[in-house]
Amino acid sequence: MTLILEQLLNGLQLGVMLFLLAAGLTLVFGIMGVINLAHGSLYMVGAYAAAFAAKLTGSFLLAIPAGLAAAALTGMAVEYLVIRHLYARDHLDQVLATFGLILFFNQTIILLFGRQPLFVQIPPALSGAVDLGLFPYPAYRLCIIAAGLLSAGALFLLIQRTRLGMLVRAGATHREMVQALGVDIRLLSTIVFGLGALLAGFAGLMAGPLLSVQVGMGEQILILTFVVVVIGGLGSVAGAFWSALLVGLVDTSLRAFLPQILRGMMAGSEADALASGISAMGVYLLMALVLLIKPKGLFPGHA
Amino acid sequence: MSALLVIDDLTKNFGGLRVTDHVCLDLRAGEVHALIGPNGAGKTTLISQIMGEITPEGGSIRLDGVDMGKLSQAQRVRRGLARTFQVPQVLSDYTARDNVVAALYARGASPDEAMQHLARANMDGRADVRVSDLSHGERKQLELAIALATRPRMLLLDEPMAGLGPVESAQMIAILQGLRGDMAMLLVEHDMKAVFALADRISVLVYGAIIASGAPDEIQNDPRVREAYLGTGED
Amino acid sequence: MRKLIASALGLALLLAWPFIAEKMGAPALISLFTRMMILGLAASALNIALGFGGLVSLGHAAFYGIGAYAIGISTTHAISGLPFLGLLPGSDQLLVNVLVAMLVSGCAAAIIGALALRTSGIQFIMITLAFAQMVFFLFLALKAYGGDDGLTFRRRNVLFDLNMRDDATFFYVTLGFLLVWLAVCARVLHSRFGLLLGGIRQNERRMQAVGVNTFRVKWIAFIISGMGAGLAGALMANLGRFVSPDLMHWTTSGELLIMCVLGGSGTIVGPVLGAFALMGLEATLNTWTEHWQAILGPLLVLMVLAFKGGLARIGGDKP
Repeated sequence: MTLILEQLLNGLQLGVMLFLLAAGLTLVFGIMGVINLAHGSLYMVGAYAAAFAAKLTGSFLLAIPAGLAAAALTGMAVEYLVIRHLYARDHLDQVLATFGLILFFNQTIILLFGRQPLFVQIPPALSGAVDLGLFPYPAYRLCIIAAGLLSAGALFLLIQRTRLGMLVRAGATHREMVQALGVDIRLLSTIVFGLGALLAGFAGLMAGPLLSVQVGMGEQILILTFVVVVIGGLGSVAGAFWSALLVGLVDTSLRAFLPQILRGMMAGSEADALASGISAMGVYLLMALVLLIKPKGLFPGHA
Repeated sequence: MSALLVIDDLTKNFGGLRVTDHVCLDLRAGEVHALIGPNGAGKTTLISQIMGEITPEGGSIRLDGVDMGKLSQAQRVRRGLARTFQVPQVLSDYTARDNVVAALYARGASPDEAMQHLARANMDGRADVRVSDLSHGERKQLELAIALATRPRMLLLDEPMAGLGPVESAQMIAILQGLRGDMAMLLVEHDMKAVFALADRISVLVYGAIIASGAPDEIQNDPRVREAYLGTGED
Repeated sequence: MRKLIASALGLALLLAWPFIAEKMGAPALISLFTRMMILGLAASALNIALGFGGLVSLGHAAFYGIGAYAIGISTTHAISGLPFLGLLPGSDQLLVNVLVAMLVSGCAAAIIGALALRTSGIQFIMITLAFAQMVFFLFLALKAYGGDDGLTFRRRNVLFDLNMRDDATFFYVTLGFLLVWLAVCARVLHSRFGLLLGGIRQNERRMQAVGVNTFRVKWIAFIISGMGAGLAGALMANLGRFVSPDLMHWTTSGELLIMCVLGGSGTIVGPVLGAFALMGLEATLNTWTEHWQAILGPLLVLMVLAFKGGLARIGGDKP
């Protein structure tokens, strides 16, 4: 029982990370109609900047603003230099250009930091475990869950309650109308893109101490984020939230429990092989199922 | 005369807006039935529902007694429904002939038929011109030729006169006159000259509901219609 | 006419290439050109979906990799003598294995296509990429066939009495497959099917309105496209006598897209030219610096931005 709860928390932790990425991706799509393959690069930039700052200063607290700033500034620069010229283009052009950005970012990181992964220490204050009554749980992971949920809450407030959020919601469906109101939609786009980059960078810097910080980390999580966005429904932030949690939970539980379940049914080695195969495919099969039932996703936004 | 297409109690909402409000309509074989009404009355939406592009929430559509409700668009076309679009939806990289040939291939017919359908829409002289080089009026005629290539029994025309100058309009009216009797037509149109030149019967659609239906002179003299539509629509 | 002369010259150059490379004292260039032709074949396969059907698939590396694995798995079973799943015997015959590879990748394309084609636009791109990643992870987890180490086999598959060990011979075999494939493409695209597919690319709504089951046409195009990618994978597996999940890394899907657009996605031969151009560029940049991707990336961005209305305008016009 405690094992199940522990895995649920692990799933929740993966889920909030995926949400931080999916939110930016889906907002950028919603307001600008752009597919950005380089969104994962911003996650990587955040992770590297934070890891580098932590190594230089020895302080995780200083690493946080470093990662956030690096990701947001990189994101806004990318929007200004490249993405804004792609709004009116077809998706193929967007794919090609942002694919070029990925090549550039990955290779630049290799030039700067080499191919060896960087390892980041969990900050000492969070390196212990918290006793949750039934079982102890790593404090750092708990912290990620809390930070992720808080960011999600703040994002919803931002979208629902502020002028910026109102413009974002309106801009997604009535681009011309927002322009007619005298709003600089270019500036709005840059800000939204920067916001998405900020969230991606936040996810990246939090992931640093859990995973190794290495080139290619962005694309791996990006593709998983695509699964989240497809399941949740393109353009819907709420859909991205629930779908991210679902994907996080399904992925974690399959990896944790499937080998034991299958071992009860067949020989150990075969069970392990089958389990690793199925759990590697799990969330993609979930996506296939959703596509069969609701091709537009569970919480479809606008077209 | 027996009814070919029977629409019964058709209802459709877009969000909170009722765009088709319990519409009942009988279209007889071979007749030209005009559907008029102000902009936003739901005329195009009605055509889209008959074709199966949009699914209604309630009511039924029957062609020759067969319920169309469950049929795909392709199946409806095979049973004799065809439509044109107000803004021409043509294949701009192809020649006029290949546009018609695509429709012929869709039902497994020989490409040799293409010229005969182009001729009925007065487009045989432009068969080998690329669509991107055709004028707006010619594209409207091509729309018609493509629809004819599916061999419709019931042709749904979505504003065939829209955007045409006086000469082109007269030509389009003549083309449609030439088709009279070969198939039934539902003519959605704002151009009253064309409507009164072509229609055997007229129905008036306002805010998704049919407010009047009858022979052209009845409609012309119906006070409700004059108030809702003709009063402002006549030029 | 100019096109015909250019094609003839290109073909003559390819036919003479093994001799030229020998004369230059650089026999490694033979295999480089074989690789280019194989990826060109894969790109022209992708282009049936992309250029002719308007379907932006970012997942063709999966079909390419599946084709390669079909070869790897069949060949290792032929060597070990143990049947696959205890049922199917392996084979070391190239023609048999190529057919198997195309069949298997065609089935994969049928399944993935049936799901992905329920959507369009950005979702379609994301879904094809995601399913390709699923296939990648599946083979990574497949320890029975090497997992992330992949599969190595000692000899290329057998074709008649040819000495397949010889790189020049394998070059000509690949060229033969490429020409047959391009001829099949030309045949398919100039048929009724090709006309309908092109119509759907231009205006799907119009094609639905004349009674075309557009899903089915796109699905068939996607399957043919996947089969071609599988054929390319089968040849690549034979070239290196090695298959691994790396073959289906998602960047391969991206590179295939670039090849199509670079060479002209509206033509049948264009993607092959695109493959030669991109791989030639990569090889050249590689001689300057190992960090050539840091140059290629921005170059790609600039090309997209500089040619308004799409990169395809550089390569050539629509048919």
